[in-house]
Amino acid sequence: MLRKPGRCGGIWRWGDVLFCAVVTRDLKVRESFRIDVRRRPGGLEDALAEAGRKLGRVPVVLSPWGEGVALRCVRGPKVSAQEAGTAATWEMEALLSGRNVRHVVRHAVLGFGPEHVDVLAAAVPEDVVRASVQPCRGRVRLQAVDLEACAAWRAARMAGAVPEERGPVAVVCPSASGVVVLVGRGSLEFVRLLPSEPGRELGRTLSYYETQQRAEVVYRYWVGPGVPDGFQPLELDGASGGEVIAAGLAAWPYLEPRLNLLTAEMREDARARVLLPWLLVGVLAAGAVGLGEAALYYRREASRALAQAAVLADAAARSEQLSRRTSELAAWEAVVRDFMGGLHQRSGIVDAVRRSVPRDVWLEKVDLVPGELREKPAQEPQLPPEGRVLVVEGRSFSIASVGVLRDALRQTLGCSAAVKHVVFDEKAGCYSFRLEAVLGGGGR
Amino acid sequence: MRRLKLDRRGRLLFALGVVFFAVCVLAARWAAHEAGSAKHVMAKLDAQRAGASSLAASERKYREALDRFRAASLPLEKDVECGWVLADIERAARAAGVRVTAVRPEPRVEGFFRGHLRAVPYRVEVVGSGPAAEAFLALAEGIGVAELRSVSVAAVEDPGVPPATVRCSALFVLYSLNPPAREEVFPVPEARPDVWSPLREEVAPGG
Repeated sequence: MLRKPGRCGGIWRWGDVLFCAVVTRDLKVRESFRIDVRRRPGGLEDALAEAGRKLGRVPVVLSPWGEGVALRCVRGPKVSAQEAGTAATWEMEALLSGRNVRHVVRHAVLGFGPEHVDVLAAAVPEDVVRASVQPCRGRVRLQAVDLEACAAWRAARMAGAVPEERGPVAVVCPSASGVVVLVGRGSLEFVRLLPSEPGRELGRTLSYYETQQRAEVVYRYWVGPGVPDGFQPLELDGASGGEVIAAGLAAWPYLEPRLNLLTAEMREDARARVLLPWLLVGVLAAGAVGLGEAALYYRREASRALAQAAVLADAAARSEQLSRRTSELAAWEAVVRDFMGGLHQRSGIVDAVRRSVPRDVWLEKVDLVPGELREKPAQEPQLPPEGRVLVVEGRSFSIASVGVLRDALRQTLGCSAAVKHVVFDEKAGCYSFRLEAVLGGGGR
Repeated sequence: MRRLKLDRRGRLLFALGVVFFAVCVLAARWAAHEAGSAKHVMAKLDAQRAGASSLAASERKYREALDRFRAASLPLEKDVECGWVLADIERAARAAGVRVTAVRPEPRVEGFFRGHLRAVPYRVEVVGSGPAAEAFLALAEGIGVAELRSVSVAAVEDPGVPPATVRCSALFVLYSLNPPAREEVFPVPEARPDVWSPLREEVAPGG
C-alpha cells in the first residue's frame, strides 16, 4: 500500500545542474529551483545537501544518473496485472541475458485494452541505481528512484496534455541513456529509447508509430531543456525546462506510471540511516533516564540506611567504646603483670653476705650502691638507680679468710667478686680488707 | 564543522543528541556519586549492625577484662603517699628491733614504666644490731609493693654505743597505680587542747 505524503520532491540531474521541484497532493507545483553543481565548493554532495535543505522534510524521488537503461513497452493478451508483469519481467530478463551486469528489473501496468494489456518494463544496472542513491544518503529523504520516461509522462498528465481525445500525443525527454520517446492517447502505449543525438531517428520513430497504429500524432511535446524544432515545450504552472521533469518525478506518489528502482537492500539501508540517529538519541535518552533512576535508587537506599544507622548508632557507639576500654584494660593488665614480674627483692643480699662471712672475720661496712650509670634517653621519668655493686669492708685475723669470704660471696650471690685490698692494721693487730661484687641483671 | 551542513531535522537530532549525551554524562556521574555514597553508608550500617549485635558480648568481655585488671593490679591499688606507709615502717622497725632514725620521702615519679605506674622513694635510716637491721630490710620490703633500690650498712663505733651496732641506710621505692585506685587514710584523731605541750610518755598513734 503506497503512502501518499502531502508533498513530494523530485530531483533530476542533467549535466551539472540539479533541477528540483516540490509537488503537492493536488498536483500543484509548490516550488521549483535549480542548483548549479559547478558553483558548489563541495560538488555534487554539497549541491544535494543544499537541495535537501531547501526541500525540507519532504520525501524525494530522483532519477538514476547513468547509462545502460533498457525500456520496453510490451503489449500482450489480456491477463491479470500480475501475470502481465511477470511476462514483461521475463521479456526484459531475456533481453538482458547476454549482459554480465546485475540489473534492477521493474515493470508497471500501463493500461488495459479490450483484448490486450500494455506493460512498461525497465531494466537499470544496479550499480547505476546505487551510485545515484549513494550521494543522497543523509542529505535528502529518499523515497524512490524512477525513470525520466515515467516522470515525463506524469508531467504531461499534470499539464493536461494527456489524455488527448483528438489523437495520440508524443512526449519526448532527454535522459542520461538517450532520448526517450513516449507516445499514447489516454495511457502510454509506445516507448522507444533513442541515442542522445537522435537526428532523423526521432522523426522516423514517430512515423513508425503512426504507421503501426494508423494514427497521426497530434501534439509533439518536449520535456526538459533544449527544445528541438517541430516540438513544443511542455510547461507547468511554476516549472519549466528541466524542472518539469523534476516535477514529474515529484508526482511519483500521485500519478501512474511509476517505477521504484530501489531494491529492498537499498530501502533497508536508507531506513536504517534515517532510524539510526533517532535510535541513538533514544538510547541516550533512555540511558539518561536509567542512570537518573539508578541515582535516585541509590539515594533512597542511602537515606534508608542512614535512618537505620541512626537507630543503631547508640548501641554501636557503646559497643565500640566498650571494645576500646577492653583493649585499654588488657594493655594496662599487661603493663602491671610485666612490672610485677620484673620486681627484684634485694633484702636477701645482706643476709647472703652474713652467711658468707667466716668465723674469724667481722664486717664494718656493707654498701649496695649503683654501678656505672648508663645514659638512657630521657623518654620516661627515671627511678632512683638500683644498687648493682656490693662493697664489703671488714677485718680479719687471716688473709685466707678474706679469700674464703670472696669465694663464699661468689657462690651465695652468684656473681663476680673481687678482693680490692687486704691491709694489716698495726694499731688494731688485724687485717682490714675491701671486697667488691658486681651483681647480675636486676641487682641479684 | 563548517562543511557539516545539516537540515532542520539533522540539526534537531544533533542538538538532541548533544543534550541527551550531556544529560547522560551528568546522570552517570550523579549515579556514580550516589552509588559511592550508598556504598559508604551501607558499609557504615553493616558496621553499626555488627557493633549493635555484639553489644552484649562487648559488655561481657569488658567485665572480664576489668576483673582481670583489678586482680592483677590489686597490690598496686593503695596510695603509697598516705600515712599507712610510715605506720608500716615503724611496725617493721619494732618487729625487727631497730630504731628508726630518719625517714625521708622523696618526690614521686609518675609514668616511669611504659608511661604508667607511680613510684615514691623512701630513704629510711635505722640503728640496731646487724641481724635486726637485716630483718628490718626484709620486713620493709614487704610493705605494699616495695623494692629495695640501694642499701648501706655500717658499724657504729661511737663511744656510748653498744658494740656490734650498725647504722643501716636504705632506699625503698613503693609503687602504685597512677593515679592510685584507692586512698587509704587514717581517721582524723581526737584533738588535744594543747598540742604544744610536750608529752611525758609515748601514746598510740592517733590516740
